[in-house]
Amino acid sequence: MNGLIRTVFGVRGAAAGAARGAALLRPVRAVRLYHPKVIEHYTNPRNVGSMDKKLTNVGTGIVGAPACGDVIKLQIKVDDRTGIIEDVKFKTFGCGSAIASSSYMTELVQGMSLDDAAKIKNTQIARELSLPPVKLHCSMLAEDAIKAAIRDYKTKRTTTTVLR
Amino acid sequence: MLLRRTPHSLRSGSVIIRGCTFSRRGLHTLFKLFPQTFPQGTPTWDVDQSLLRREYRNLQAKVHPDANSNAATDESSTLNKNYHTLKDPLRRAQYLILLHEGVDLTSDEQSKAQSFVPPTLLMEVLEVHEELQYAEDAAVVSKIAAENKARIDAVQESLGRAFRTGDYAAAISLTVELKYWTNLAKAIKEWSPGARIDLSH
Repeated sequence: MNGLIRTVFGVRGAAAGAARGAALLRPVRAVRLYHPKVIEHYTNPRNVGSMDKKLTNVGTGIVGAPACGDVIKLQIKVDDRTGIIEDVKFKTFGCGSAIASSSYMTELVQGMSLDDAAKIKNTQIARELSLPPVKLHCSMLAEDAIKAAIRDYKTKRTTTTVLR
Repeated sequence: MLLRRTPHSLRSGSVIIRGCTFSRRGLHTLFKLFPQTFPQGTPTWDVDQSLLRREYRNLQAKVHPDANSNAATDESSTLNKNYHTLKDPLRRAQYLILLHEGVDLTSDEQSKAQSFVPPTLLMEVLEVHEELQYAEDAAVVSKIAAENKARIDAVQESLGRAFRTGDYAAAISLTVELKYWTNLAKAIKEWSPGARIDLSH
């Protein structure tokens, strides 16, 4: 994490030109260029937190990327009558792009209907955050997370209906 | 060579192994590069680490540019990568699965398609991560570290059993699980008071 910040600001700081020159001299693996939008979400993530997953109007999606080992938990609180997402929270253990992808996803779905939220494609997130090809899977993980949260909410609703 | 670095592997510092059709025939695997440690040259989970380390050092002495000015730098770094693939339990497990099953667990699509990780495990990963995030002193962190080490040990023991009995379906799931706990171990190692914990790969 400190490494990330150091790298990010080292390269994108005031003396960007000089720093970039210096970056070239470093081993390749130390150089990680993040898009300013990723850095923005990363340093100031939106809607971090948790909701009570036992509530019937809260849907929880927990997804993992087995190849890189990142984990996202995304929760939605839905208005039962309108089907509108009225609150979103997330928690991510992963790289900067995974954090930014999930943070942006929460911003995106806030106030959206479940149907519209289910239609969000990872490409939309990747485009907004200018994710490089190697980080596309982070946006896919965010897409998986909202889908899983919606599925969980709908499953709860069905169960509730049956019980009535 | 069996090992090639790709952009992703450069970022993660891990090695992505290709050329499995060639190696699956058993013609050439990394195990054959260390004949003293693996006299049969057959892929195996069980590794005598001190033997492997010694053999690696001896081989490195022949190819390292510091020791031998005629040696090519690539040869030394390839040897280093190969050694770590066999030495490191996670990488060794990924390599064995690639050899036996042709499944590349370092690939996002393949690992997603082939493995199932129960949500309870992911939940646990997040919970420990949170514990670490709110840890205020080193004593708490060392407790978290000890618990994580116990998890890693248990998974590795099960992995050993899976490989020895040829249960590759189990080995795949266990290797994915090991990846999550290894990430956590990395985060624990980088912990410092008040700092945010994230992964860089």
